[in-house]
Amino acid sequence: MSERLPLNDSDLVTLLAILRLGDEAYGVSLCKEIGSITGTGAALASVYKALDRLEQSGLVVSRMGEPSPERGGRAKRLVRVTAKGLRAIDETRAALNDLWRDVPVYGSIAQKEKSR
Amino acid sequence: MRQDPVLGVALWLLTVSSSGRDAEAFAGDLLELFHAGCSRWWCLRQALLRSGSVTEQRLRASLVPLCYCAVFVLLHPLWQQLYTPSVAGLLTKYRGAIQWPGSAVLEMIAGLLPAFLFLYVGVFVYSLLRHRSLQSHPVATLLSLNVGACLLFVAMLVRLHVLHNDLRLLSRADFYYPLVHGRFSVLLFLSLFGAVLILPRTDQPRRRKPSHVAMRSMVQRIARRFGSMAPPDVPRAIRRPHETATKSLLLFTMSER
Repeated sequence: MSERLPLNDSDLVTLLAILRLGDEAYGVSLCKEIGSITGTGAALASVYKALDRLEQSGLVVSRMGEPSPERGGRAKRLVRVTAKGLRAIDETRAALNDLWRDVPVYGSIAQKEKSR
Repeated sequence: MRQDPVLGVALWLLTVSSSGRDAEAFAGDLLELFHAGCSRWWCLRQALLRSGSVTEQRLRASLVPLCYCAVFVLLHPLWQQLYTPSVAGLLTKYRGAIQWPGSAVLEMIAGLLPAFLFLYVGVFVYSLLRHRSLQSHPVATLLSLNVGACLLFVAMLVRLHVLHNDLRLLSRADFYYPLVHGRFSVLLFLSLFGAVLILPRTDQPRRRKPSHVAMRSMVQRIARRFGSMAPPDVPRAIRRPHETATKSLLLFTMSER
């Protein structure tokens, strides 16, 4: 992506998936959500790598949930987007909108040429 | 219920490579996905990828301190140039006066004390460069400095072992030339590296006061100064115009915000 954008592809998708999931954002649910956004399955290790990177940058914070028996008594790492993360998403959206400005929709042009 | 051996290996890998909280969450997610239908080999692959990622992060985090320590240890000859004349003078002065084993202890102190100081300077410079706080975590800092000192002490013991534990054969040359004596140089490096790795991180970056808060405190300071400049014999009623003026100035700056 462009240097003007504060977030790269994977960070943006991860943050948007966390926002969509709300309070239930953790490793497994994020894997499924990212899979549904991108159309391809996301590896758990890559999701955790992205979460580590985002947490180090202060864009997300994580806390441990309650342990559950189906997870072998292990707790979930629940994540949420910080104010800084929300700002970064807004900035990325604005930067992407700027990039798309004055660019025509090529689909309609192609359809017109086809109809001729 | 007996656990799948491949899954067991995956969970063991996570426990070995990651820290407690992180490993627990990842292992829980892996188990959940396994019960949801993911294959055991997929789980093992994820565990391997996670271990690799964590190891890479750790290596990357220790790269800067590693380079710093290597460069700083290279400066040791300059440090020696600073202290050698004074230490040599001290040794010459007291060598004849102190009998063995006191003389050997003197040699050891003369050899190790400047190395300790060099190590402490190294830790202090690193904390300044990397914004590590020495004040907010005094226990960890003390531990960091002592780890360095202990490693250097081990260096001395190693040197003594090489000399068949005979203190009489120990001379200051054993400590003075780290570039010549490679082992001492390596131990000096390891001491500094160990101390620097333990050094705690500053939790929060120092925040600047918002401009309106800074402005308000500045106005208050000026107001206080004006108040203290008024002669003591001036009645309180006469001081009031100053106070009202500063109050109105305060209100003005606040309303400007």
